[in-house]
Amino acid sequence: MTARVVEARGREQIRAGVLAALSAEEGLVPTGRGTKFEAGNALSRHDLTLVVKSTDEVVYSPDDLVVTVPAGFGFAALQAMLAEHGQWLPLDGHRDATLGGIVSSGVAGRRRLVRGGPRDWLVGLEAILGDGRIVRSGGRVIKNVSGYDLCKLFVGSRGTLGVLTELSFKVLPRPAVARSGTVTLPDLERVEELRILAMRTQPAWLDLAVSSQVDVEVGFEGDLPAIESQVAKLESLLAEAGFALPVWRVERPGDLWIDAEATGAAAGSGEAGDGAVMTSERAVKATEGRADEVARMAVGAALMPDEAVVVRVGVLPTRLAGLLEQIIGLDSALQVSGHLGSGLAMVRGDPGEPRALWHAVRDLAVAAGGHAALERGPKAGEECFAPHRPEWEIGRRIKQVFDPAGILAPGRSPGRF
Amino acid sequence: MKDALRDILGADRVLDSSAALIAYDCDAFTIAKGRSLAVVLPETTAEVAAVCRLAFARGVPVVARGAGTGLSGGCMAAAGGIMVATARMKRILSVDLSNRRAVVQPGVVNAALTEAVRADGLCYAPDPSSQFACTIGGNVAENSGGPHTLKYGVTTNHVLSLTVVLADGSVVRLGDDVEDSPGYDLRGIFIGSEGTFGIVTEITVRLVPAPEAARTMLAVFDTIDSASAAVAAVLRAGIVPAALEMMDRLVIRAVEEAFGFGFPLDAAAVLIVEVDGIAAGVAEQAERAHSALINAGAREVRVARDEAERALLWKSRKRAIGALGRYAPAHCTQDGVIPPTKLPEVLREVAAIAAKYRIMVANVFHAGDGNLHPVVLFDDRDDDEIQRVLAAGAEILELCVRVGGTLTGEHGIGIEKIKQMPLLFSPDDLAIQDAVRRVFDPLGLMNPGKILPSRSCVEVGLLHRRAANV
Repeated sequence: MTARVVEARGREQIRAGVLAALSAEEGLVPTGRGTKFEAGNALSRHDLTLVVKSTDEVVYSPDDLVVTVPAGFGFAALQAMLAEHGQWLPLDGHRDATLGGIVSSGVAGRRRLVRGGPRDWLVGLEAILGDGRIVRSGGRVIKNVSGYDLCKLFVGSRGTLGVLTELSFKVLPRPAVARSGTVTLPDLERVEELRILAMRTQPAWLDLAVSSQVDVEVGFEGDLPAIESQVAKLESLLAEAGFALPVWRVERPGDLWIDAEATGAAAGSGEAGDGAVMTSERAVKATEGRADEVARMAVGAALMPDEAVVVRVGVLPTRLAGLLEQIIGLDSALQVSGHLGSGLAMVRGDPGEPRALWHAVRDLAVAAGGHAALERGPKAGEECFAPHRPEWEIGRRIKQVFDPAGILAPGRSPGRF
Repeated sequence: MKDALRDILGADRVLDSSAALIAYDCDAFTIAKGRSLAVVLPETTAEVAAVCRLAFARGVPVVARGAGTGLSGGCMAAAGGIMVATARMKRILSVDLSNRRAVVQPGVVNAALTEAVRADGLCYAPDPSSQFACTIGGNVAENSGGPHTLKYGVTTNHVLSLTVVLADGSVVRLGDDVEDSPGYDLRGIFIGSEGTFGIVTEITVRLVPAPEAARTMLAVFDTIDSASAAVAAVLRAGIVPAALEMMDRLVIRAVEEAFGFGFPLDAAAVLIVEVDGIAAGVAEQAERAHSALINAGAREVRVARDEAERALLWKSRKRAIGALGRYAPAHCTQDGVIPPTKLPEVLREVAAIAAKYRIMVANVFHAGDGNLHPVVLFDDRDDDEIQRVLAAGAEILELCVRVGGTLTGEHGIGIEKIKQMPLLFSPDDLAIQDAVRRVFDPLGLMNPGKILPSRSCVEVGLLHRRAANV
């Protein structure tokens, strides 16, 4: 039996939705546009999908470097609004995502190397908890240590602690210029060496994609004189070490998603597209010269992959190349894309034995001192996050505070609660 | 109890003389003092855990203390409690340059950490003004900032994982050295919990490239309004300054008398503006900032010509509050945050509050992020003046919240601002925060009476203030 889909627009409707699920003892899963809906452990109950729509209640003060939006507000629409004032929210994300979804999924894209992720830009929130209470944390200023930092708990909580209603973000002046360059290698052998060289400059991102070859993409973003000096420095380091020079591209500065049709600021209202919850991949074309895999990773791999098995892995940056070599060794048909500078990658494939592949990739990541998460694949009966961490038990008790009846996305969290 | 502590740590690391207990009775918020049962100086996670296990078994409160530079009473001693001082946990345990991470004990001094990696072109970015004394453990407890937070963030943006001893002596790792570790961001909620969730005994920090170059300039303004407009102008020019610090007339006078940089004594306000980054880009950034400041009405803009001048300019700022000490026997630094655009109106109201309570207030402002430090100057031998200072402080906090700001940007709630928490948080908000606290510390033994209001802790605060004034 599939879950009912209910739309809620604004705090009162969201709260009503939660209270109704509470009294009916139903499993409620909030969503924006569903771009990250499948992440997490398998839901133990899913009776109701609460689609959080936007309202017009935006409070934006450019000179105060803060913007407050409803959780259902579209990411693309927000960036367009900020761009009109020469500002941006330095996060990468799917152009169809909502801010609530970006915060709840906690996924960061390529700019995480220097900008961090949603946790580093969220300064305030309001949410409806699983018992219907309204909670607020943080505020509408960009520096704040009043009380406990509950905002951090919600980032990456995937709807298990509350339904977000309103979010405040720190914003910054938009960078002037951006460049990226791709170095293509035949395999992973010299990738770590390349990473070390690239990090002797100050890239804004450092990504890789592995298919029949390895494409390493270095991005720089900022003021033109600084960018030019970094490009020159990198080329000098690469030439000295016998690497081919990158193929350089001019990027639109502050471009936060890959969209061949984008002609600048995306127009539109706060609404993130039409009302349907996304369940299939939207076709997105890479800009000229960039591999599809790199394009996928650039937006935090927010694009819906086609493959049957999708695993995210993370290790210390120095170990990523070695880990990916081992993973590709399991199955040469696997597609891998990653944030080389941060030690994170996504592995995608259509293996004959999905569960065995997940276990093998997981075990390799853990053996390398890192972690793994099954994003898509055979989730029934599986703990989709590894390794187990003692702090998850504290997380379970936190969940009990926020959602005593356990109605919010039950089963989804690491630890399967 | 003390014998049991000596069994764990040895007699030389358990202090219970009157003199020792007095030395640890408060932090830099000196009007609130307490009296511990004993002060202990552990050296390892295991020793901290043993101390906490012992305290837990006997229901004795535990307070952790770094350098005691806190300004809100965050490590004020709990009556009859055990003060865990981290002074003997000062080691940098490891530095991983390739992965840009370091693991440190909580007693490592903030500036010492940056110093240790400077030669490799890296630094630990959060640099509170007290960085030559304050410790990383204290920084974690308060989620400390400093003047560079607009561009570089605060402690929580630079800490990857924590080893924490909980009230019952159990040891748990929060967060991970690897990015994006699955699970709720418990590291994130622990940072800034002001010692009420547990004691951090190891911290993995992020190291970032030290800026290649910096250019620092002093802009002079005839009015607060023009200084405030200039802040907006710099941001609108597309610049993210490394620092943007404002000082008012009284502060200018104090630092000029103390350090002789050449501040103009007739200015209403000065802005210290610093741009930094890749060497090739800094000159151009500085020029754009210079133009923005002049066009916004700066009477003059002086660029520091060399490293010595730049260091003197920063010394003037970082020691400004100390320099104000020449005007009064005591001072109390407030810590409110306001939307930066509200500054002119707020400073007018602060001046009115100062006049109403017949006290002197000087203002230092982290202009980029809105963190306002009104520095109240007073005679702490005068009980009536102390009461007026407290009343004025409360009104200033209410003002900050009223204009859309918050109670504290860096110093924490501690004991100082507990009464004002209901200005920001509903009863449900406070109940939820309390419930989270009880997940970590069900019996309420970790730094009790801090952050969250309850009837008993307000009474405790008043009791200690009265005791301090006797």
